[in-house]
Amino acid sequence: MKHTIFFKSILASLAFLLAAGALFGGQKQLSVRIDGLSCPFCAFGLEKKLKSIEGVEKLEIKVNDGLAILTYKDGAAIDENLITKKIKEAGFTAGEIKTIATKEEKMDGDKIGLSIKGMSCESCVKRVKDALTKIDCVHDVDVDLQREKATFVCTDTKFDKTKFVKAIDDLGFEAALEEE
Amino acid sequence: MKRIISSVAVSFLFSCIFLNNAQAQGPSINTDTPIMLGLQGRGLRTFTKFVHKTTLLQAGSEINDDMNRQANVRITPVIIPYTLFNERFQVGVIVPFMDIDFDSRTQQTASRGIGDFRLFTKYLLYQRDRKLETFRIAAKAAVKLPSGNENKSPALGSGSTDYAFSTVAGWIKNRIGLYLEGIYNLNTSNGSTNFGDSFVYNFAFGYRLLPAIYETYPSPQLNGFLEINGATTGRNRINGQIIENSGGTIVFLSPGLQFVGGRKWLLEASLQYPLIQQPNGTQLATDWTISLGTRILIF
Repeated sequence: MKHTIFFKSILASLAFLLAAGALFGGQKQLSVRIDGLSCPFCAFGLEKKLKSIEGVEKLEIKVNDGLAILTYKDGAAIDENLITKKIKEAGFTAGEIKTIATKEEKMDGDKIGLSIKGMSCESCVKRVKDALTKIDCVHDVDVDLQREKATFVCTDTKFDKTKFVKAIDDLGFEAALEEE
Repeated sequence: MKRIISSVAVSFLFSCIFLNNAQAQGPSINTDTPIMLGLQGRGLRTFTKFVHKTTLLQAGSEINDDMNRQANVRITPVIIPYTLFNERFQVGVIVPFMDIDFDSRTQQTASRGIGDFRLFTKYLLYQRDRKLETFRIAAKAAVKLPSGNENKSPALGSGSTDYAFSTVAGWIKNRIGLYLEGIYNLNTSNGSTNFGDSFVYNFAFGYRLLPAIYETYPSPQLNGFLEINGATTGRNRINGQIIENSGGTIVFLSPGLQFVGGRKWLLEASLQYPLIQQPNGTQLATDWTISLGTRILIF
């Protein structure tokens, strides 16, 4: 009987903790621009310094984008000054730090379609995808080579949509906004 | 008299060896770099440089060598740097292991052992970082200590305490890297011989061959290098007397390949072929050198 009460208490505590996590928790992701990140084999110290920050659970260094993506543990405090300091200690220059929207947050925003002419291969698809992803408000980019089309979500409803067209035109393709 | 003959032999054989040794500390394979990060900042580096010398040159032209002189040298330096103060300041030591064979019709000699230690320090003077781009300039000073046995034949060290001062600039953007380095070697006397000072000039062009797009760190990568490594050396003096057959100019064209396997190691290889070789007087010239090496992150 005593054992039954004990196990029930444990289960109740676990259930409470899980519920609390769902209510108050949620991993936070930060994107940090790192200037000078041009030699990938220099990045060991950067990785070590950023991983040493308390609360950082996962780190991804995207060399081609010049970005570090930091995933924090649930409820961990984020100190942007500390991130900047660690990057300097690693021998690089810290740039803009942005919070990456969670999946739920990403759902809010305008769904935008672009018709794109001139794409001929998967490499073009990747270039288009990269160019759109680099724009601050853009998420969930999908590029369809056969249909010559890109769709994505922009979380900033006031964002100047002609900038999407320009970003693609600058790659040498011909883009146009599709009617909503 | 014996001392003078020994010094001439040292001068004759080693002028190029010590220059080559001075050139070879940087991550672009034969040129130094101002970037003191990752494998370039806290990695142990070692390589073996094979130097082959058979051609006798007089005033820059090949002449017949009745003595059939030939030198084969293998230098294996172990370089350990350590970087401090936000990766802006570096100290380090180079310990070279020497293996030298000298053959001629009348003489066959060989020496093996530790050469002259070198202590160095590097400071980052300028840093400009942009997205996927960095430009840095560093100043460097080094002192070479007479730890190699100078009395062996062939000698393993110069017997003198020598100094080097250099400046190196490096620019990397995406797949391309450019490096430029100038070194002044200030050589002192070992009691009787004063090796001529030298000016070393290095230029390296690096290109990331693979991957074309480097997505996420760490990923394997293959780099190609094309370097120009040159040195102009003054004549040696023995007891104040100028040695005609010493010093001169040599410029190598040095293609190389470097494979970075991950976070903590790389392998590299470089061939050096002389483009210009104008030793003063009559001297045994360098036919080629090959370097095979590795760097391993230890700190």
